[in-house]
Amino acid sequence: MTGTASARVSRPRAVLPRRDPGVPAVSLRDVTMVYKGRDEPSVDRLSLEVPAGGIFGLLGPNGAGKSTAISLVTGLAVPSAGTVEVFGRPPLRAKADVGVVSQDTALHTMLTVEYNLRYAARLRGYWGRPCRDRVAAGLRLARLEDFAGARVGTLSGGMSRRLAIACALIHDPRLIILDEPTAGVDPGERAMLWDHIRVLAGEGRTILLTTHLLDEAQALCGQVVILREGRIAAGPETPAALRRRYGGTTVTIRTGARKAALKAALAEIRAIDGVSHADAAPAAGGGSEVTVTAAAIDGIAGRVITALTSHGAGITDAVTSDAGLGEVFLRLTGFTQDEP
Amino acid sequence: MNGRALRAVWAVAAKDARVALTERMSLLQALTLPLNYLIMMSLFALAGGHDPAALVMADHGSYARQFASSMAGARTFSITDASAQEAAARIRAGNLVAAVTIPPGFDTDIRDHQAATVRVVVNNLNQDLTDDAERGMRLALDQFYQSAAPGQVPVSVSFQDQYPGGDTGYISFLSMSVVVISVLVAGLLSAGNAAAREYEERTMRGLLLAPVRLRHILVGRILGSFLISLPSVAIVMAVVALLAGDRPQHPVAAAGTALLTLAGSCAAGAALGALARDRSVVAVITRALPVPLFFLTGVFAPLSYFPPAVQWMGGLLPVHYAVVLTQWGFRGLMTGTVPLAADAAILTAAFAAFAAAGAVALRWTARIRPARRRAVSRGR
Repeated sequence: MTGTASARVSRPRAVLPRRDPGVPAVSLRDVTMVYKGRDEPSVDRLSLEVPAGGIFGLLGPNGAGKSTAISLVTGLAVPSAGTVEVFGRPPLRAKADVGVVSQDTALHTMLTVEYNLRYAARLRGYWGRPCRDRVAAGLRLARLEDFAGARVGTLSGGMSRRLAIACALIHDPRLIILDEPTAGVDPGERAMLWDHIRVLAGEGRTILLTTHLLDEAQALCGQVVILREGRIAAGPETPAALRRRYGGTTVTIRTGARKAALKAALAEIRAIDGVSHADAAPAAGGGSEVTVTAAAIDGIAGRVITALTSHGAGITDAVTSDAGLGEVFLRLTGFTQDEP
Repeated sequence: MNGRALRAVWAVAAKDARVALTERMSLLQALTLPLNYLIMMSLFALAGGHDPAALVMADHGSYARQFASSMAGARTFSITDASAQEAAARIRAGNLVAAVTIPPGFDTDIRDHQAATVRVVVNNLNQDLTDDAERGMRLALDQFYQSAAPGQVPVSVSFQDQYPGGDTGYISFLSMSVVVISVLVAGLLSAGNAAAREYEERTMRGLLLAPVRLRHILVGRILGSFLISLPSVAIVMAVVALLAGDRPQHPVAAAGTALLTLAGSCAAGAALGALARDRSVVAVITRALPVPLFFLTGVFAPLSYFPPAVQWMGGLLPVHYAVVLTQWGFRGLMTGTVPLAADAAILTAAFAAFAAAGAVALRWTARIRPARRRAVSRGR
């Protein structure tokens, strides 16, 4: 986060005290949800704990069960089986602690920006001066002070999204659920929203984020879970740990080895446990380029180099790269990442 | 209901009212639709009120003039004088229900105790018009006998009014049903649109996520729709009061019935909107429903005059009881089959039932419920 961006979106608000220490923000225990008219569960025996504080990402392709999980956490859906708790309470009793920004901004487009904020505040019991204060803070948060009297229907997508976030935060919730928060938002607005989200997390809130944009998850989330067909395919772990665990490593080595030596070395490399691919191709400027893809194994680059040098191949260059979260996602879900 | 709940109710009501005010077409519709019903039904009544008839006076003697005034007194015809050719042309053109000719020598024949025949050409376009013309002529003949030969007709009929204030005009009688149906339409449309709009614009989700109980949302919706419908109801009642030509005899009862009917229709509208989740569906139902209701609630005569099947159907409809109470409130007329207190109790119970239906509809649509356990246990 840049200093400028931080200053632009931050609010003069104290960091929220962490009540109920040790109680997770969200807890799903063996939760199954089967919609009427469907045979297969949308969420299948899902157990997940979202710790209080920080940004937690829920990833998965369309139909993986992300939105169902969110509906269960917000109390909008009743599980077929299992238990859902928010800060240790049933979801419907924890509404005052939760703010939700859904995929569709769900604002009253015929009403003004200010009235939408006022309505959100009034529904949460703020009237009179406290209500006015909340509305003013919401306008600052959404950076829409100059548009207070504008009808929401006239705002851009990004402005509407910021307003929706401000409405969802009007009551200072401890848990903020952002369901695809940057869907349909241009790159500039997305960067601002990311800053926004980081500031909110910095205030001690828990943010549960669903997204299918992997760069978003990688940039924001402290921990992520990848869902597939209603179950956890991987996680919860940090994005880096997921990459290491499921993404593997690619080692690229340039060598001047002769053909026979190269062939013998490649055979030895392919025999290393965890190596999924090893091949050589002529390199520009002479020599060969050996590419080895392997699961994340400690010291894999060293073992490849040893195999080559033991057959008399000289090494001129070696590069190791870890797979991105996108490759992990692809490997675990079988889906390609959508374009942002 | 505590202060926080009241605030939540008012927040929803104020928001609904404000949204309705920003949607000019909806507002216009809410204001004009009840008035449209009033105009439409009044025109219907006006068309059947006095049948146009031409009177051809081929004799201008005293008996002929007495017969003409007897026709006017029959309260069936709107009479214009015409020549034989004009009357024939107008009845051919379909502009008259009847062309009545008082023949030449009418006075002489009567003085000489000879038979005199008044010729009536009836436009038997439909049975109702024919019946009107025949009834009117018989009434005219009866009055003519009474006035031309007093005391010579041994049998006479003595009328005594049940209601001493004079007769209630047909439009006045019918307009009470129009008031009730207009109130019904206003409430249904207003609350139905408000509820369906929340689902269409997906703002219902935000409302459900707020720490507000469903019943408070429902009460807020009914209240908001009630407030936004009040002006149109007031306009309709004012127009009807002007049409009726006098003030309501029991203003508290008349206003109370209108308000209770409006509250009930707002509750029904909230249920309808929650179930339909689509304003076009609400609009279709709101337009289709009032017409059969209108005719099933004792619009032309008390329901007890109708065949048992119609009485049974009408008795099931709360609007019938609202019409009965409105007839009493405005004109002091008793048109019901049960005591007025029972009418009021049934109307109140209907409001409670519609509110309960609204609560069930809201609850049903508020949370996604899973399939039965059988499907769950199948697993993978």
